[in-house]
Amino acid sequence: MDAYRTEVEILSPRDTGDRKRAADFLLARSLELEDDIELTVLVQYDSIPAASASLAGNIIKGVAVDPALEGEGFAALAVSRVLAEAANRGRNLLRVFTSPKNEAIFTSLGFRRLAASGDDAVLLESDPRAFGRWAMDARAGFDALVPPLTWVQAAPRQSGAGDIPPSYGIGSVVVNCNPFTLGHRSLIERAAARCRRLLVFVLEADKSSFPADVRLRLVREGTADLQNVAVINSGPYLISEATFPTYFLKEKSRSTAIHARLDVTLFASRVAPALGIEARFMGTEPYCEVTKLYNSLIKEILPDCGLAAEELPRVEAEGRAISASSVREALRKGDWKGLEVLVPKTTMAYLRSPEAVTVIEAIAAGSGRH
Amino acid sequence: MRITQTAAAGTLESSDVLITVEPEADASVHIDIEGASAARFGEQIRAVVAETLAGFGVVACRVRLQDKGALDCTIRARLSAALLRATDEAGPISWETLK
Repeated sequence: MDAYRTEVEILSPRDTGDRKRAADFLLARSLELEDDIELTVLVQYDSIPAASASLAGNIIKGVAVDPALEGEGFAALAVSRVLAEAANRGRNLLRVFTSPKNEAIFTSLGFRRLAASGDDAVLLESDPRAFGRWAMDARAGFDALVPPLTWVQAAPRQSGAGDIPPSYGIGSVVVNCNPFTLGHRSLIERAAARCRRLLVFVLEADKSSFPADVRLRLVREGTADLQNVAVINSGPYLISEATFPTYFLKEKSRSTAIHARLDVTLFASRVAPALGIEARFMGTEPYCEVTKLYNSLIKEILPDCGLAAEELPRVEAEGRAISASSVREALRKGDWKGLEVLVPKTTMAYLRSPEAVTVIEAIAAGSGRH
Repeated sequence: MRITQTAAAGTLESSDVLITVEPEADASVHIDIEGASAARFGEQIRAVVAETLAGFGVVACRVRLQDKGALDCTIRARLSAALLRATDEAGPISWETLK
């Protein structure tokens, strides 16, 4: 690479001309310019596009290089400029989901691997200490909500469970709860009966009809009586914009499978060991293809890492499995009577409150999966 | 000088260094050096960093250097810039005590 023949440009997708140039470069490499991209760095060599990298929030996307110019450091230059632009915006922790062949570029720029999805993709993070910090905070939050010895006095017992000791020290459930239903309640209750302590992660990504803080609050209110249950935010390492961006899309695609495998691998290899989690519980999934696939991967990958994966049957109301989507359907139709068999009193109180009006209006207007 | 926020200075281009400074809860200084030159020049880099931190009177922080072969003067300049961005102390800087 000759610095005098190299030019670095920052393209904005809001500019039609810029947008087209960025999209054309990516398209030639079978990539697309995603909608959430804020800026694209384009490196040109002798005025010919050589490499590009883009920024969307805390995520680096669309890293591509002209195959004829590979190994010259153009991609590294593009990524390095993206890092600088992100730092100017106060974002010091970035992640990238990329092909394993780009991993060396990112390691040379200080990134470390979080997990891989088979041979298809790797997830890397710019600060090698970030995961440890998150795990320490999550653990402290968990211990504060449910001190390690709580189960001795307070572990709930299911009727008929007798004096059977819990199967696991720490169990976990990952839920979106959009919104919290009697189905979620039953899943958490049955999982809690099997563990000394149960950690419930509520997805933090604000991609659902109900806002993240409301979803978290409703789960906390609806499980307040279960003393060995701690409900915390899922953070960036569980079904997040970084680990599983396609989770929130309606259609299943090839990237869905790659993302799902990466997310589960990250849970099994990093999250669970860091928090001392021994088991993950989930409800059987009768409707959603994405969740079905995700559950099957959990059952495939966790046992290999010495973790238990337990799928518990969903509870039914009037012959149909209770799901958050049936709650949203009832809200869309204004079927308040039907809601009563689907959600607990705590969720019902919220739905009837003035706070919920705009959320319900938005649900009635749309028809999205989430 | 008290470090109150995370800040960075520098680039990852050849002959430069990207330095990130973070607050540290316990009153100690941690220096992490990454890059090809760490093995050969790690101790010298460490000494330059320690000297610059002492010049600013910084006693608690974490410094991450991603080195691409920067000279000592570059390291000093990048670290000074990162430190000044990482503090909210607005008072006059005693430039004479800095090298």
